[in-house]
Amino acid sequence: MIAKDLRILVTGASPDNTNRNSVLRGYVREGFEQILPKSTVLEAPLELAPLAANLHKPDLILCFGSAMPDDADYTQLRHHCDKTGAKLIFWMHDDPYEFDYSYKVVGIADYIFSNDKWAASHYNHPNVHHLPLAASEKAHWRPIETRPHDIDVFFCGVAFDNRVRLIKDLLPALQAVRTRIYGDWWPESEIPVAINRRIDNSELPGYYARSRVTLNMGRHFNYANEKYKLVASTPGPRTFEAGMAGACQLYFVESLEVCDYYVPGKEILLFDSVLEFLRAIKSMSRQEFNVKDIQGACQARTVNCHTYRSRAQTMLNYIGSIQG
Amino acid sequence: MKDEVGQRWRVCLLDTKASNPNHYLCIALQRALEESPDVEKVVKVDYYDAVHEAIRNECNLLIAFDGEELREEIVGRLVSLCGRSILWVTEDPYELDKNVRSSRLFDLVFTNDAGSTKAYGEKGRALALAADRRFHFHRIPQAEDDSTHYRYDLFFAGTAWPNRVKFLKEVEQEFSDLKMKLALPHNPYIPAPNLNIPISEYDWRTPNSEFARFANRSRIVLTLHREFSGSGNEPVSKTPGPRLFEVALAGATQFIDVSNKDIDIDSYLSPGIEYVPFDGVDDCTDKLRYYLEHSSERIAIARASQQRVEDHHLYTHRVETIMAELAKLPARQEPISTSSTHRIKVLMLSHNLIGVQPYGGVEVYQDAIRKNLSDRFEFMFYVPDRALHPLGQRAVLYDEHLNVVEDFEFKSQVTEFHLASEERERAFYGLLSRNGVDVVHIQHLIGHSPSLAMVPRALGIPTIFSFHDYFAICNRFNLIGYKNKFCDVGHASKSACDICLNAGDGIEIGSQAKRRAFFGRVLETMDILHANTSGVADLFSTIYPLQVDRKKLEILGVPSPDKTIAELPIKKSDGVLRVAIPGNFTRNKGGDDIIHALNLLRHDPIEFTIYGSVSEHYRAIFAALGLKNVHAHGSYKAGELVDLLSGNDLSLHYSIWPETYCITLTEAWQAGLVPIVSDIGALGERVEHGVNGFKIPPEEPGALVELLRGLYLQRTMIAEMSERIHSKQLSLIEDHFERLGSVYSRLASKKDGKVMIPANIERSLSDLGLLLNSPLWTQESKAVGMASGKDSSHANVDGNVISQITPALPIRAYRYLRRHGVKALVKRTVQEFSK
Repeated sequence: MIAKDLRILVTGASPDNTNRNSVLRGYVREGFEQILPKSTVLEAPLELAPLAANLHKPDLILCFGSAMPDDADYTQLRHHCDKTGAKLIFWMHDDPYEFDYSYKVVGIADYIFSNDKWAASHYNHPNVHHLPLAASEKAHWRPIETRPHDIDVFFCGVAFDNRVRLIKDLLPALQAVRTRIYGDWWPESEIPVAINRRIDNSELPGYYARSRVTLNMGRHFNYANEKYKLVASTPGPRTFEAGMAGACQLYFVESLEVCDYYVPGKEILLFDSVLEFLRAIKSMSRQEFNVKDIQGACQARTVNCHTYRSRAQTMLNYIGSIQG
Repeated sequence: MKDEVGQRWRVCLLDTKASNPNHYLCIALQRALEESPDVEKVVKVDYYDAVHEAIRNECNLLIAFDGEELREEIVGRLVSLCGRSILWVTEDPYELDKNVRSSRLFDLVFTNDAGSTKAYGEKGRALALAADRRFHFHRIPQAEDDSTHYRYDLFFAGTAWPNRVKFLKEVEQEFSDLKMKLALPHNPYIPAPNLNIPISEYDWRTPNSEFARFANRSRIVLTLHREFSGSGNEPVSKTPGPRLFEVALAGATQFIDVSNKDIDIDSYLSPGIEYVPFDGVDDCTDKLRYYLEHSSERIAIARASQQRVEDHHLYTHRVETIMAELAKLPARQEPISTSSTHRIKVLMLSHNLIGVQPYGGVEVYQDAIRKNLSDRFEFMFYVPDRALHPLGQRAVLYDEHLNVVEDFEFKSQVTEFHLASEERERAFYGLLSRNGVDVVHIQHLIGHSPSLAMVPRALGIPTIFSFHDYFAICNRFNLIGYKNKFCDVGHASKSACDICLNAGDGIEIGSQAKRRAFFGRVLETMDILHANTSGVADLFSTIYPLQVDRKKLEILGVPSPDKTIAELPIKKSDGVLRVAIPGNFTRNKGGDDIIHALNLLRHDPIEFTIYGSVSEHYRAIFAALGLKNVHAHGSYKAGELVDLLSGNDLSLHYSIWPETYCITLTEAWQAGLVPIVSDIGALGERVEHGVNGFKIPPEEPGALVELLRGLYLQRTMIAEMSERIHSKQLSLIEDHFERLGSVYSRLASKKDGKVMIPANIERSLSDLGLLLNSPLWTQESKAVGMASGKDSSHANVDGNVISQITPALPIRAYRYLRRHGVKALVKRTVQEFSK
């Protein structure tokens, strides 16, 4: 049981003028609103957080996001916490790619949560926990399509080098089916199935739902990760968003942590090689397994375990705000 | 084991590599140390804060881990501070030469390679790396779980050294249905692997924790040695690396290449029982076939090796060895202190020197410190060269006699918009370490990169920051806002600051937040914050509540440059009230308001004398007004003012900004004058109305006129007050330098000066791990500048224009707003847009 009078302020770890992911903060707020009375949860951008803290009188101030921007300053929030006894919590969502800026929060946070498990172990702080990102049922859920899929293989994301390399290796297979690859920086002349086009976040779940399989490829692109050159171990947030939309994901294995979130073969498909990818595509074409079974199972697992509601619950468990 | 005085170890743990992808090894060691009964606490540090944290936590044991890229100027300090020191190198024999050079600093050296131990002489000890339960332990399945648990038949991960690639290629050719998982990342220094599989299948990276999981989910894990050295040292380590233990703890069955008999595996795991040895491709493939078919035997080996590591090869076991070796060391000889004859060396970081125009109170103050404390302290000055423009292109280091020690020409500019400059940080780091500076006293940062203030912390040099104005709060360091009035920053919102800087200087919205975030970190690194008055400290504390800590504050008013207390002069009995206006006559000093009062008092029996320069603007106004009772003395030299003021009855200090002290007020008191001050900042704080002076609200010339006329009628009361003030001054003069000297001594005592490695090393803050996205505090253009008549674009270090604001339309709108009000502006805007 959660302390009835627990109040939380959800704010950004960077000001909204430099925060391209502020939409995710709304999902975090929703998550807390699902386990706490709505009136006890307030969301505000970092610029307004000290004011919001004075008005809302929270027990917990959660800064969600990236500490990388130079104007990310938590002095007033820390001061507020020192005066009131509130806890200052950071949930970093760009680890390990911006890990070198974590020094800004280590000295002032009461608790740190990192989206990446390996990065979490590298914080020099006594209260650090791993907390992956998640999906929002409201934003990402789509009904499992009963109509035939009109896309066979779908991917949306930036063309990081590792992704380009993998797609090039898979290209013969991808060209043989209805493939759609969207995002920025794709070398269209070398990868004819790719189109340099951004898809709005609100449309993306629809694409996942209407595709037979969605490719899941990791990211090897850092902004500030020189100190320990950390490699991500936790799957990216779109793994959960796609799961919520009912995607059947073909996940290229560079870390097995994905098995902590989805059961391979039942809720997600893993592949390690071009050959395995080809086999999976062929199996689907021959209907050797039912894609919709995987889509349904993945969605159900996501709804049950990987929502921002469940993450909020986990966070409160760590902080000890649950009364038994 | 305890240290010589019976205390448990307080360990300062440093990873010597500032950039280390294998830092998890250091984390594993940290965890093991924390579990040791011999250890009271473990402080894991980075280079930037290492010395500071070692002092703060009173560490008595340094463990430098890894050995590569060891920064001697910092590690030398740590060795000296901690007393006991250990180096545990992890890259022998590949980096043996460098490691041996570094080892001279330490009491004991543990090497990862038994073959390298001799190179360290008596200090050398072999200590293999190990495994950590939290990173590496995984459950081993029962034999019957075999098919569901295992994902791969064979797993290998490691850098694509040529010998490994060749081996794997040959194994791959022997099997047609073997499910292999290979991770063979390569780098530009080694040949690209040419395996018969697509590159994406083997050129990928995984964290060490996932490496353990891959190992756990693989039936067999290969261990292949490295036969490659980029440094010309012996290419093969005699002791197995950490992966032997990590894979075993992960619960995998290891196949280990034993073709090189020099590598001692068997001291750690038993062949055939805890691992499978092989010699060559054929032997390997034969055994692969066998053990893939005999899962019970294979899993038994995995279990045995996991148990062996749990019992003997965790970092906790290695820490036990370290503690045992420490216990064998003879008692440490205390180094002979050389500090008795050593004058403490204080470096003043400032914007100018006395005598170099334009100079003012700060320069006078720092020179007074130099003169008054030279018997106990050796002073150096680091200032921008005022002769070279733009300011900051050249900086000069002076000795205590103001002779040039060295100078520095910089390639890049530093403007008022800069926070950091790598070349300036490097130069400052170098001069601090070369000159053995004990204390840094920051007087002012104008003309420097503000980031210099953070450099001394990296070297463990204590630093004091004097708040002579509000530069650390705002670029408008007098806090005069865009409306030319005091902005009352302590009560102003962030939005008010954005509006002020945007309207006044065309600076983009959000820039102040960036500047404050940076200066917050600057103040955080200070050991002492010096404010002249409590009120000034309070204002800083309002803006920086965390950093301006009461424990760090030293409230100490700046002394007058003239120590003499003037004899109270016999006043003229001509019935005229004489009022001195000391200091340059400027707008910030209340010029606009004083001039109105003087005009009203033109026929009163009150005479005014301005001691200081009068700008051309005001000279023209005075000429037009023709005020016969106002006189201009002109400029004066530091130390002359007390004598000059003698003969006046009152002094007038009518600043419109919150002065941080105002030395002329002290000098007026020394001369026996009764001051009239604006009730703002230190002026309002220092004067007690009706006791040692009079206070009136700032920017109210009418109130000033009324007060002066009233005081004219009460001249006896002024004379009595003058005598009271005068007698009090006698006890205040010497106090400042005594207290400041104590502060310097106290700070210097925090810095262990017993060993200072002469260093000629230059480092920037980013070299030390403190990063900024941009060296400028002005944001990229998010809002439109509203400043009129001012080019709001500015160049970065390389001269690239980072923001171009087109002010024409907004300025027109702003002017319209001021002239016609909001309603009219909205109406006009609608009209404009509907055209």
